[in-house]
Amino acid sequence: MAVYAKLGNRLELVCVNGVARRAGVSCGDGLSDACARVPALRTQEDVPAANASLLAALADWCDRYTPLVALSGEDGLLLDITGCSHLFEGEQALLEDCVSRLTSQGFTVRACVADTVGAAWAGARSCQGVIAPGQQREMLAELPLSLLRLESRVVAGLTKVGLKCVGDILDRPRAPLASRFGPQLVRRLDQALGMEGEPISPRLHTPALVAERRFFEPVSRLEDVEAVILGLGVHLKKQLEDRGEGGRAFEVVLFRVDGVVSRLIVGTSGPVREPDFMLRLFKEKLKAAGDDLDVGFGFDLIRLGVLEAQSCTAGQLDLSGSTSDDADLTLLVDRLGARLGLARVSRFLPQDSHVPEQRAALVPAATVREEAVFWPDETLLWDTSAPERPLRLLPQAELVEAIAMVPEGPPLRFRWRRALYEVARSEGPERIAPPWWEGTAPTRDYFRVEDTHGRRFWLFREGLFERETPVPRWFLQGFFS
Amino acid sequence: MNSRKEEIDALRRRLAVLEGRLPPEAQLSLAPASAASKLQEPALPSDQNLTASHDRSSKDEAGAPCLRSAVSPRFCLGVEALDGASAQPGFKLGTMHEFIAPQVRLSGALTGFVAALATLCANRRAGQVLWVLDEAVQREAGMLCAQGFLQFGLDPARLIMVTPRRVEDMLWVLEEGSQCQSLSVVVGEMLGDFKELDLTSTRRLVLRTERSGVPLFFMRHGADATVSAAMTRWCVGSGPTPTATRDRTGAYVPHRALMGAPRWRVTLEKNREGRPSSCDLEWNHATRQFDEIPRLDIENASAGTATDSLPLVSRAGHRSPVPSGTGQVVAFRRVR
Repeated sequence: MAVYAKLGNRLELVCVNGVARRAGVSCGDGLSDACARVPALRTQEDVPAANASLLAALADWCDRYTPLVALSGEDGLLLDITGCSHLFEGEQALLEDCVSRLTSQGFTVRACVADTVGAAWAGARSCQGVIAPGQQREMLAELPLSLLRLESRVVAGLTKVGLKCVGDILDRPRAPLASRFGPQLVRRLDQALGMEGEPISPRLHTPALVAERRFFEPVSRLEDVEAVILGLGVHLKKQLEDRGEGGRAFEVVLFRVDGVVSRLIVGTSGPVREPDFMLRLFKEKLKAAGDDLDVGFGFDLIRLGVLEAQSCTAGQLDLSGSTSDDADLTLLVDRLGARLGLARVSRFLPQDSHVPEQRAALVPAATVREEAVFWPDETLLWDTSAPERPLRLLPQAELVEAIAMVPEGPPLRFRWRRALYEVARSEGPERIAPPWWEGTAPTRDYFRVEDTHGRRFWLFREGLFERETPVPRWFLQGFFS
Repeated sequence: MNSRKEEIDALRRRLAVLEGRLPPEAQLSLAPASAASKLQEPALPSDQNLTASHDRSSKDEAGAPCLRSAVSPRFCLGVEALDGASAQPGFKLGTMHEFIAPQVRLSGALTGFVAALATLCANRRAGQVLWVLDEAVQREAGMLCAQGFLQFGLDPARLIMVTPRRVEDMLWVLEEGSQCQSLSVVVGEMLGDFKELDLTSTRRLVLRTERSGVPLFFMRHGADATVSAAMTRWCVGSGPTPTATRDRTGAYVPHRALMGAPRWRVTLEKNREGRPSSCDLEWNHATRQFDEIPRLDIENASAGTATDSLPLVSRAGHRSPVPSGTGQVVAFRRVR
């Protein structure tokens, strides 16, 4: 089996497996050469996007060891296991567990535990296991310079002057090295030796609080999963109470036995501690995930995390024993948000704008406070004979073909969505100019229009005739009743 | 002694009535008929109470006559032609009402009528209004305009909009909403006919609303009447057409006058509690009340007599009717 890719103008093998290597092909061979030499060779074109998503899925899976997982290049993962190894009975046990699980999933893994990112990188590529603390200098000394994460140009330059191992440059004066081969060489050396810090950038946001449960036998029934979430929620509740906080966003991570990781995230409209409440939201999420969530052979690790927390004061009970009247409304909003997505449950937030479509902003109902939504009663300012704003607005004002008696006048008839409407009555114009500081959008003249069947529309003419545009265009924006 | 026995008999009778069984003959001696009837009187089943409370129906502050019967609250439109269509005045609040418009382009009229009813209900029941609308409705008929609702009489701060992706989600949201008692009204909107919307699913909705007492107004744009468990079905059309007037040559030309208040031609097609009905309505958004437009005017208007335009136009506001043929009519904001 070999994977080929198009490099320049030529199809070249970029990866071969053990069987193919034993049959005599190797990376860098031309595709046609290799196929001629080994006719039984199965080939497959390289798909970089699939590689990347596989690596991301692996990174998700590695989340079971530590929340700090970073991608390293196209073929590596970096795990910061500081403070995590004792949960797995030591670094050696952790490494063996990780390697054996990945191998059983069919991956070829090379792994190394070391004090620094650079040492671990070099160690993994030279097949080392666990490097004891402080031993990276001795380990690195025997390795070739190419394992120091240097550009190939620098490595070639060093080789030309006879420096082949890391040990060759360890004790050399640093200033000439830096001036001749660039500062990167010294920096990489320092990073590998631990003299310069190198943080890793984790892929995912680290949860504030985490509770997890591992299973010897995988669980596969959804009822069991829900029971586990409830149990973990009880754990988290204690910790949240100690911190005086409540969670605003929760995450359940389900690790399937065969390595697939599913994440369910729910947000709430207020700080939440109650495990029952969390469970009800996650039940909706599990229902919504439905077919996407393939239980397969079951989950062997379930984790509940608090992604966002905010301070939460206990509500005072009133005489009837409930904290507030709208508790079930909050629950409803959160449940709808959990199942449909938070952005699909929204409220109107007034904006300071005269442009009709910008007058109101739709914001997720879970994120807006009741006090923020206040619509000043403008009805007193308006003429009482008829509403001057429509009840419905089209998402985008739609272009209509309209005929007016005079260019500034109301339309006589117009064609919208291929149907002709004869205008019987009209009111207007109401001129709404866009803010002058926001570019050169044309002025709009709005007309309220009723057709011969009594249907009422809100049309506007874009652009002032002869002052802004020679041919004003007409748009239909809304509907009156 | 005799009086004591009578007393015991009377108590036995009373117990029997309370428990709903006939008193065994053996236990009862001859009791005076007057005593028995007097005792039974207050224990009669609540038919009399019901009618009594209906007789006590009064007008509430808004002016619309509203009933608070012991069984379930009802709402009235304040228009005799529609309120009188049922056995009891008005319509049941805690149930599902269906509103259809045959064409999508009538969405303005349909939305307006339902918004007016929702305003009436929201004035009576505290809480938020859950407005559930399909993505297709948003695309074809548009989003709700907050400012328009504000002028119409329904505070947009009380609106919670939900836009589900699928029909099943839509029905689920409606079910969840109609059993949440802290909501004032639940409004659902759909475009066209769906096979998911059958007798079973609507029956589920009706049962939930009846248990919680939250009214559910279900709107369907561009749809035909289908089987449904809703209490009523209303067909909403745009209001009476503007009257035509003759010009000097004697030809009919559209009467160009101001538009005036929102108005609809509403047909109560199905009414489980009574008979169907039909009416032309106008909405006064300042007082938040319906007014009936006399049907006589419209019939005359369709006949095309020249005098008919006057009452309609005078309804349009405080302005005097404008004679036709005087050119373009342009509305200016009234200066206060």
